[in-house]
Amino acid sequence: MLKISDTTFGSRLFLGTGKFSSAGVMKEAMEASGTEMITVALRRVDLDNPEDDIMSVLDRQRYTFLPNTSGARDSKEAIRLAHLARAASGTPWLKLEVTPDPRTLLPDPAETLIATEQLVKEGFIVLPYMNADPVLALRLQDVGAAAVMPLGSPIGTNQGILTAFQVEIIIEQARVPVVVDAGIGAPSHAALAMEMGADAVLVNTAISIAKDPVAMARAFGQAVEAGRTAFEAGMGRRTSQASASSPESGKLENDLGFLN
Amino acid sequence: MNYQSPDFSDLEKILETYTEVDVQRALNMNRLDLNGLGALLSPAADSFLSRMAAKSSETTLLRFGKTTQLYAPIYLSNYCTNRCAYCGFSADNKINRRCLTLDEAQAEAMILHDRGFQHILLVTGEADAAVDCDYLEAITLRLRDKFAAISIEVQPLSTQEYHRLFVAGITAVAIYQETYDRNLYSKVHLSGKKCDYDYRLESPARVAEAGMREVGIGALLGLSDWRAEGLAIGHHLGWLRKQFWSTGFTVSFPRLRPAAGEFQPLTTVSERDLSQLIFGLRLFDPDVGLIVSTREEARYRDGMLGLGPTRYSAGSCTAPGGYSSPEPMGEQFSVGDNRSLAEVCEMISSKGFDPVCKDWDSEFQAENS
Amino acid sequence: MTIHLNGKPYQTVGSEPKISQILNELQIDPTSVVVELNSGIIAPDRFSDTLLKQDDRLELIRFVGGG
Repeated sequence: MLKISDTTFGSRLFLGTGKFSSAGVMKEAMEASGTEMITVALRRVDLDNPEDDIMSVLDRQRYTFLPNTSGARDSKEAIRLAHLARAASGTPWLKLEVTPDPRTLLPDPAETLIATEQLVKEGFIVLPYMNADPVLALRLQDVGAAAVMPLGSPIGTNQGILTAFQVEIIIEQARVPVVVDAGIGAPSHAALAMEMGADAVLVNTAISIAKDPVAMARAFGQAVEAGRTAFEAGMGRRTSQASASSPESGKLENDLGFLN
Repeated sequence: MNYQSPDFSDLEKILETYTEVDVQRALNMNRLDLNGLGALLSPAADSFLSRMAAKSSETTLLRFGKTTQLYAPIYLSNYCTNRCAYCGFSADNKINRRCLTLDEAQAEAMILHDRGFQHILLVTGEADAAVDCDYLEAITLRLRDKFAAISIEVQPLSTQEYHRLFVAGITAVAIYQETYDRNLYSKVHLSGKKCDYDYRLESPARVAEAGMREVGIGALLGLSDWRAEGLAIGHHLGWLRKQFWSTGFTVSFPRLRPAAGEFQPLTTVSERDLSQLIFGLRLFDPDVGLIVSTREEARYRDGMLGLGPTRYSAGSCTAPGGYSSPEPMGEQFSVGDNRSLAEVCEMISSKGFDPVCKDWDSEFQAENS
Repeated sequence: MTIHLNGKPYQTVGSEPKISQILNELQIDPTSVVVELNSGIIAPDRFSDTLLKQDDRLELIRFVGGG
């Protein structure tokens, strides 16, 4: 079971709620995916459309709400959004996003670290969205992040786990859960992240823009489960016999004739 | 954040379960987990030793290049309040006891300095009346300008004391569990502060917490089942790495040799066994420093060069004042490799490796931890 | 009286209205929003006794879909 802070989750798939064609499709997709954790954003009420409220279709008992700070460009803005999120959700869960570059939406490491430290002190359960930098992951862990969320590739690109090498290091080193976020465009990407040993993945666009979001959500649920099962079963690493030989000596075996 | 070592007999049982298929799988992994380490330390890996050596050699070369670090120990005192069945310094042993004055210790260090050593390891028995934190701080302050690195292998200290020594200029601390086998631990530690298994087990974490650059762990080989000791070291190392990601770690493999008091090793650990342990740990943790001291014979150390170990001691004497005295008495153990630093350097160079006496400058240490 | 509601000028019906009145005018369920008045968060139990003044900055914020 996945455990973050003191909460356990039966599903290792987190779902984003953006870009769905309707609240009804979103709700059905969630149910099909088996997710227990969903992310939501904060925005000003649309005064021309004030009755449009996504909270009203979502079951607060069934899902843990993970509000994000999307749109924040520095730690101050993120902290303000975090306070609003806590007031709105009534819980301390927070996906911290600080993305000053509107073109790539890549996270700012320095501002993210500052905001994480501050918000942890204020009692938030902080899951920072971050570039797949292993030392940054450890620094965030050390200031109290409840999990880290390294990106697979830039958000919305559907490129998959381009950062696999660094994500592997993060998974190996971190004490806190590792949730691969952003760039996961296909169930196979999610399965790969889980096979690598990620604790969970967060998927949004790949599901919401699919021709059939409900079926795609189900496919992601299955992929995450398959990947996790494979990881727990102990995967043989991809390797060729050639890599077992020393490039220096070309030897598969070393002479140990000196031993007594 | 207290560390709990797995039950030793459970480790022994797990090690019996691995098959040659498990060993092959482990050898094909890019990065070993504890299960893979278990397979490589198990009896099933016996026929794979030369393959393990090749892979260990390749891994060591990739990570450390063609270098071998060198250091020498300085024994400050052989007074000891502990009675440890295996140790030459044990309180009941009738040996010449001596504690060097600060001047004498400095003189010993300067002999090593003049021989070309830049990394020294200060060693003492456990007797606060002879060598305590104040003593260690004082000698460190005297020596810090003369050496690039000064390590200690002394009684367990508090976090605050380790931090004091770090600020004074100590770079690394070695504190071996001796045996991870809790039952046997209480049988061979007959009396003294060292009887507290858990305080000792928690010491490496205190060292890291205090900000030291490097912590050395290990077990004496010849007390309990070496395979289970190796797996226990793997568990401990893995835990320490997760808790203290910015600390460097080393593992030592002191194999019991004849010492005063006539303690005979409880189990025999052959050179082959020792090699299997070294190769297994190298493949489990490509970055860990692996230390082989002069307890081992020259032939073995020459043969192992580049296959896994990264640091050798050289020209060692294990009695206090041994470098200044022509016929030292009261040694902890007798050495197996009597060559001088120059001779060991020559051997290392002749094998195409660079002997490294200086890997760090303690002057760069900041007091910010 | 004019306040700034979600960044835009907004003419209130009376002078010094309460927050709850504004929500009512806009037909917004008070449990679905977070209210920020001049950069400070107002707790829901204060909606009916917090009076608004000329040029106050009132923000009505709620969850929307997001990743």
